[in-house]
Amino acid sequence: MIVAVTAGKGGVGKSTVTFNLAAELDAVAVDADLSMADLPAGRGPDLHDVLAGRAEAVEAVHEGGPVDLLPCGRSLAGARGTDPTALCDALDAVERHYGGVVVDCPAGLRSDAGIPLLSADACVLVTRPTETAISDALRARELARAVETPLVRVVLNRAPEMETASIADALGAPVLRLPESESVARAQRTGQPVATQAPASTAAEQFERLAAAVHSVRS
Amino acid sequence: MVSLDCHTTTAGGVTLVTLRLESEAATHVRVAHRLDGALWPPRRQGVPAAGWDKNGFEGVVDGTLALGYATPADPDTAEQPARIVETRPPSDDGDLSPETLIREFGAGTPPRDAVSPGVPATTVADVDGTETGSESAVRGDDGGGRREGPPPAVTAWLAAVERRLGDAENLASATSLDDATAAVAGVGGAEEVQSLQEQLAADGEALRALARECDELADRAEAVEVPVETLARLA
Repeated sequence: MIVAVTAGKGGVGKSTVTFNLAAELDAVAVDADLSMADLPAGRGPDLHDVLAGRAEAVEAVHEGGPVDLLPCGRSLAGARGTDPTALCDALDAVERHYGGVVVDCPAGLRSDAGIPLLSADACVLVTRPTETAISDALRARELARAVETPLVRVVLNRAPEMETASIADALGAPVLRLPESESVARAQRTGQPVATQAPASTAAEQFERLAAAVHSVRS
Repeated sequence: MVSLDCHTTTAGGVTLVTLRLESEAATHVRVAHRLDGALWPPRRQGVPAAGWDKNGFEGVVDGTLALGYATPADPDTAEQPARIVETRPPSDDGDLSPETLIREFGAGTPPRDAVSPGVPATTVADVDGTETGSESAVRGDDGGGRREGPPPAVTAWLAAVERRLGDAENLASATSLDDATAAVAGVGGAEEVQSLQEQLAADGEALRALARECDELADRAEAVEVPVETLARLA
C-alpha cells in the first residue's frame, strides 16, 4: 500500500508524520520533495538518481536505520535533472519489494505534489490550526480529489485542545490532533520515531491511531 | 465519418505537418504518423501536449480540429504524412496520468535560473527516448562558467560531419562490386548516397563559412585586451 502524506503548506510537520507513520506501518519512508528534501539522507543513491535513471528504486532504499528510507538529493541541479513522471513506477517498485510505502509529498499544488498523490492508494493531510495552514490544506484536499485519492485522516499538528468538527467538515475526513510535544521534538533530535523514544506519550498513541486508520483502509 | 486533410512544409531540414480533422459527430480518433522519421509533438510544460505520443495523436474530434507537429523525416517518405488508424465513439474515461498532471498543474522541478551557474543544464528526454541538446548549448551561453573547448552542440555537429565524410570516403574508395555494394548498403541504399552527396556539399559550405567567422573572431579575441587591473582599481 502507498500512502501519501501531503499538505498545502510547508513547515506543518509532513516529514515528521511521514517518518513516524512509516515506523508504525513498518513501511519505507520516501522523501519525494525533490527540491526541498527534509528526511535525512546518507550516502548512496537517492531519489534524484532514481528519477534520472541512474539507480533502481529498490537499491536506493537505505535499510538499517530506525525506518527504511528512500532519501532525496539536496541539490537543485539534481532536482532539475529528474523525470518526475518516473515517480509512479519508482513507488510501485518499492511497494512490490517492501509492501508498504509512505511518501512525503512536496508542499504546493503543482504536479510534483500531484504525482505522488496519483500513485497513492490513500492520503493523510497534515495541517496546523492556523488560518493560512487550513486554507492551504483546503487546496491540497482539492488536489487529492482531482487525482481521486481518498483522504484517510487530517492530522492537526501542534494543536492545543480545541474543537475540530468544523475542520473535519471542511476537509471531509476525521481529524487526529497531535499536541505540541516535547517527546516529538526529542525523538526528532535523536532521529528516532516517537514510538521508540517515548512509547507512552500521547504523540506515540496518536501515531498508532493514525496507522490503524490507514490499516483499516487497506483491509 | 471523420475526414483528414494533411499539408506539409519543409524548412531547415524539418518537415512541419499540418492536420485538419473534421467530423460531424463527436468521435474518438487515433491518427498515426507515417513518415520515416521521429515525430516531434507540440509540448506543454516540457511534456507532449494532451493526446500526443511518439506514434501520433489520439483524441476526440467534434467539428473541426487542427493539429500540427514536426519531424526530421522527408515528406516524400510516405504517400501521406499521417492517416487515421482508428475511430470509435468517445468514452467518458478521464485521462489521469503524471503527464496530464504536469500539463495541467505545471512542472514542479526548479527553473533553470535557480540552478547555480557552471552547473551543466539538464537535457530533456524526447518522447522517443533520444535526448535533445542541452539548453545552454541551444542558447549559446555557458551559464557563467568558463568553457574549455567548443560547446557540446558544435562538437556533436562536427562529429556528424566526420561520420558522413567517413561514409563518403568508403564509397569513393570502393574498387570492386562487392565493396561498392557493401558501402552503399552501409549508408542505407542508393537514395541515401544521393542525399549524402548533397548534405556533404552543404556541410562543406557551412564549414568554410564557419572557418572564416572563427578566424575573424580569433583575431579579434587576440587583439583585444581588457584592462583588468585599471577597471578593478576604478571599481
